[in-house]
Amino acid sequence: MSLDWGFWNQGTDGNKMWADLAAKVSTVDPNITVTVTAPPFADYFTKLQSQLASNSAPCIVSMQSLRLPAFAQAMEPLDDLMAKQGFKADEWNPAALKALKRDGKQYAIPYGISTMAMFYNKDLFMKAGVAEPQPGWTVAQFQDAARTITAKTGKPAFGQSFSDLHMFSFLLAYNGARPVSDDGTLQLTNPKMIDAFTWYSGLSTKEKVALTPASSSDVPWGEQQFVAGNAAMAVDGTWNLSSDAKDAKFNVGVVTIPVASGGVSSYSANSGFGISKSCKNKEAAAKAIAVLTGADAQKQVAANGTLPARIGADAAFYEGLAKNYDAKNPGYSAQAKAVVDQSSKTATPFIPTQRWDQTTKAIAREFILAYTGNQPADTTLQRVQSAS
Amino acid sequence: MPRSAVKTARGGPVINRPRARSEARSALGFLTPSATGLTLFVVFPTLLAIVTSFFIWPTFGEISPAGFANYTDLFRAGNTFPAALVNTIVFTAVTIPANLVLSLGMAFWIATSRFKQFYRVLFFLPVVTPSVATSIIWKMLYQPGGLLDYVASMVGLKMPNLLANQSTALLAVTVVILWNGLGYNTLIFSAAIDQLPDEVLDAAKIDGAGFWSTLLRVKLPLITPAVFFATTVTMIQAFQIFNQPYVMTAGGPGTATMTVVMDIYHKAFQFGELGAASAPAMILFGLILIVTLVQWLSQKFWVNYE
Repeated sequence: MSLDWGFWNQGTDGNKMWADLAAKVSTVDPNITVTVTAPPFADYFTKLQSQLASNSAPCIVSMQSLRLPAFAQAMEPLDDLMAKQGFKADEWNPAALKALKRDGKQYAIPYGISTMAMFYNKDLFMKAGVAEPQPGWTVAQFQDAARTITAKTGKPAFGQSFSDLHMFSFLLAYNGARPVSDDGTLQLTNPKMIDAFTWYSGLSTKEKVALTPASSSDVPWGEQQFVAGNAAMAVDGTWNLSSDAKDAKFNVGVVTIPVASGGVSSYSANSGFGISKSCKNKEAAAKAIAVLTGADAQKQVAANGTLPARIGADAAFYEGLAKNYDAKNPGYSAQAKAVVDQSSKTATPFIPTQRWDQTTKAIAREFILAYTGNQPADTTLQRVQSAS
Repeated sequence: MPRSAVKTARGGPVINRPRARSEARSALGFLTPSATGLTLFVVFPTLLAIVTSFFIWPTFGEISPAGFANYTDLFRAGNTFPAALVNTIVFTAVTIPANLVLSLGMAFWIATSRFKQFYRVLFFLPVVTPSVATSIIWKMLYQPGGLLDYVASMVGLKMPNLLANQSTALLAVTVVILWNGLGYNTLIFSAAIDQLPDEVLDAAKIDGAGFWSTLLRVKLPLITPAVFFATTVTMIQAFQIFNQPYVMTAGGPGTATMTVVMDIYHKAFQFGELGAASAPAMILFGLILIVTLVQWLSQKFWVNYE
């Protein structure tokens, strides 16, 4: 039988690797053929919505932890299905599984796990005569570095962002402020959040060390400007450890997000594979997912530049980084491992609200006013809260 | 002579009944394909959208009746619709006169030039270039470090970030849309000016009419049918504006460049709320219908078809 698998574009190398893994399903069970379709990330979820509406969703759906609350009701809980395939929770990174759970049920089996980190431009740090930061550094140290680099290079040192994970993980690191409460309600107007956001927007309005997005349609911004060489520092996900080092025309460094008192570094987020409710061959789909997230598959994923979700598969990830980048950028793979190890200790999954798309749209529209000093931070948060 | 008074040569309408019936039958045959298409792709979806607007209709999940809740919700605090409606109306009110005056001016100016064809192609280029691409270019011109900023800094001025400021963003986007759409109306007017009857213009000359009185009292009244067409089409396009603000500002900063169609798009395809998206769609539909109807009825006061 033929199973459809919806995924988002993984780049040339990634698409080929996943297609090979899909072909492997047929060698395990010759009755199953998995066909993958992979549009760009943003289009994937728009397309999935209309596919679900017309009952034509693929059997195997790829799901990102941040989108799960909006899509869970169209997906099949996997606990029983995957138990039959020999799934054992203790073989997995607990944070990776937790991020893809909702109401205690597992909706997708993860293929990776990411935390957020501070990426920095080693060349610009050297040019400004600032010592490279160490894991566990503080907000005060970050501000000192940012001031010096801005003064010495004439360019704002930090790239601000509207992207949910990128921005909120810095606020979490600042004072522990969280945009969503444990029971899933949006709480942008609590005093801690106002305090943290006032500080974050102050990086451009008060400290004048931040590069502000040019308009509300610039999602992403800081993380992109960083790779382009226009900002010396930006928050980005560890899913880009490999691609940032590859794309940037300078030596990339990576360190934990700086913390201040009460702050935590960092959020975790990830993606995995689940089964749509409309799928007619759920047993076969579960079998395919077991292959796609099997121990061998996870090693391949790791070697290809994604931090795997299975315990024990990550050695291949660091070996891949070392092989590709350490010669030109000494110590990069060790630095990456130190950041991942440290941030994984405290990382918590970022679980958004069910209406998170409304919130992120309002964030892009309103936050630019705070970053440019045209609207006070607390008013901005109130407006996003009421627009959600 | 009003049209209704036109009679046949013999002084009264002559109707040959059997022939009329067979003509009606062949007319029906010719009309069926387009009428089917119209029903299937226009009438049916419109009716469905009206029905949808009275339901809570997620893209997937349970559908339930909502009464007028989708309409009343539009005016709840935090909903982007009121701002979108105001922006769209302001935008339309600014664009129509600006577009007409500029394109008329350009058309009359082109008419006097030896390089008429060249200018027509030149001004029409923005119309055929994909607006998403031109919006990205304009955004790069506007943003800090862009061309405008660079030129301003050369003469010692500090350029504000036009797209990030609530009081300038809509204006900045409007300029791009004007630039994008001018060529279309210029071409229409230019063609109409070419069709002006020489004998009328000669008569005006013999009567001693100067440049301005020929322009305002002879040429302009003669091309009012083209002006009417351009006004109607430009207005409908203006009410449905989407591409440029979506690409350049995503509706921000705040709600400064939010438009009704963008609001509909967000609600339907980003938030998955088809019912909540159909309500503003119906309001926009009604608004365009009323304004077009008023325009249509008003044409007898200012459009010359003779």
